[in-house]
Amino acid sequence: MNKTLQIHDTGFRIHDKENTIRGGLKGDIVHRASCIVHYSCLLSTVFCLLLFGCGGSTAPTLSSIHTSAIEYNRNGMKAMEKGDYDKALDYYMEALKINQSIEHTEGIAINLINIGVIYQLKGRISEAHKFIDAVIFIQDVSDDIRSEAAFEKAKLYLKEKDIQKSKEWVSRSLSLNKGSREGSRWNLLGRAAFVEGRYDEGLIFADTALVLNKKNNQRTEEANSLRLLAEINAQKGRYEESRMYYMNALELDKVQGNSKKIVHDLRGLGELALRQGSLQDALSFYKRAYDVSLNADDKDGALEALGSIVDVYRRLGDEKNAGEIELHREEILKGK
Amino acid sequence: MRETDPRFIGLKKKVGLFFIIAIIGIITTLIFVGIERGIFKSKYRIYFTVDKGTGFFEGMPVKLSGFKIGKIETLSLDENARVKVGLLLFKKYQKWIRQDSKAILTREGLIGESVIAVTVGDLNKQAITDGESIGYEKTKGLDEIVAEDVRPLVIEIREIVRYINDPQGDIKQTLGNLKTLSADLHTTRENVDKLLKNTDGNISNVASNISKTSKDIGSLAGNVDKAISNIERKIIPAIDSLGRAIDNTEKATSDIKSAVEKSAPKVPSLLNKGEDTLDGANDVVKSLKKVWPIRLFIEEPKEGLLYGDSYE
Repeated sequence: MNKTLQIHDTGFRIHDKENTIRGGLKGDIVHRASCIVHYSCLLSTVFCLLLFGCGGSTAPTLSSIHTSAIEYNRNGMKAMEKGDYDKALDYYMEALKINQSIEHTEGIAINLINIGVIYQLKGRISEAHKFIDAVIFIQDVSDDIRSEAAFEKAKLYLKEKDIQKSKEWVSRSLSLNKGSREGSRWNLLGRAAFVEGRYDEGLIFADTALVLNKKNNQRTEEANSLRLLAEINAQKGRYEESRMYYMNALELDKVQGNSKKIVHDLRGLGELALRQGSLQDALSFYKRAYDVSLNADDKDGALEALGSIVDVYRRLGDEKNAGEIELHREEILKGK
Repeated sequence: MRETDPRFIGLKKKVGLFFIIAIIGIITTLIFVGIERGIFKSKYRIYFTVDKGTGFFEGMPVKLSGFKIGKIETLSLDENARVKVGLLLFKKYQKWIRQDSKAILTREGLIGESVIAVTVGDLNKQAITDGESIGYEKTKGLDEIVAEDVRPLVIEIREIVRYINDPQGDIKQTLGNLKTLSADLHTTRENVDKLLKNTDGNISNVASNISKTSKDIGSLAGNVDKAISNIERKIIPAIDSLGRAIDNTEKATSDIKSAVEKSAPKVPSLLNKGEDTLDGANDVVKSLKKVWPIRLFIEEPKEGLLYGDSYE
């Protein structure tokens, strides 16, 4: 029998006139080679992972006293989220004390600002000034923190209706740092202009703030810009624009889940409806504002909303409902 | 050239067959998955509106009596800026959802997933049809329940402990009074003893005087003496038992006092044990945070700044 063996780059073939037997050189050798390559890759991957794991960046290690200050600070944050200002104040005071005991300047500055913010929210403006002033005099803190302190000073002066000083501090804040919070500074300038009755200037500032806040993804401040635009437009008699801005602000505030801001928006919409003579619409917005305040345990907000509801009922000539709501309002006032 | 290797004979057909089987397998799997997920089931849409969209998400399961009957299909804002939640439900459950049915945002167990529970409506009322709306009922979250129910309980327990421990409180005062009373009872007992001794002496004198003055009534005096002895015999055990009773009272008072003193400090420690357990869990989490690769995803802890709001 005359058989021929042919070897080529993919394998071999033995054949005679009738039969052909094929062998896979490639099948065998390439398979083995690919196995080796696969195992090598796998091993090197595992090796790299181990190397990465052992040699990678280690977990940040802080001294126990630093950690303790951070924990107090974080507990303060949590208390603030729940609206428990007194508890938050206690935590921040403790964090401040710890930071002072180790001369941790940044920690001291941060907690001083936080305490200032709480005092401002509690309406104790003079105490707030003291704590924020203490930050201004600290030398070696970052411009970011100094800018925030200057912004808080500007807010305090705006509350005291000292518009000139408020503007000065906003400018100072902007000169120190124009980071992602720049929009909030323009919002404050807009609010100062609004308080002064300079509506056109206020609109420019609010528009600038809106663009910056959108760009920097600052949703809460974006809603503030929209609310400010709504308020200014309402003052200028542009009710449709005002309504649109309020609705946009409301949408954002709902996404943020900020009850107090939702109430502001609903009350703004209610006042707008009153200006347009739509008493039923106004009533509906005020009722919604009352519901939100009540469920958010905001008695002051609920009382304000009830006052507005009574006013609308009286305008509608519905003395019976007005009387009932007035009684309910008095009950809440007694329980406060 | 003719293929003689049996492994390659009909190879094209075999590959083709294998390919067709694979395709059929994939299609069958897709159909089964579709059936499993209810893609081919007949459905209808209803909706409800809420003030805030927090907690809702598209695809969230909708359940009726614990059975999945659909999902949230859409979330959108209506013209009054309220959140409109669109539900896609299986048609076969339509008969249970009536005009008084309510949608409730709830959680399956303490740490289960959030679901929309739809309540079974009154069968005398009309069934909700495609495009109609149902009411929404707000439920309390776990944190609200804890805040409302557990916290007052803890506060109350702390108040009770403080009340028990208060040196000016009723309990401490009562214990003090009982102690004084037991001391007074001792004095009273001594006085009674003295009184009896005096009485005994006096009666003996009277008896001798009587025997001197009248023999007739001597026997009577003797009887009186006997009677007095009897009284003395009966009264002394009575006084002894009174003494024992006083001792027991004193012991009981001291037992109560020590029990209260022992148990009162334990109550706050029991309350704190829960906190310790949480601390333990916290330590475990802290250790885990140091483990690679978890640590790579954890930011360096630092103190947070309360960013002021331009509207506040």
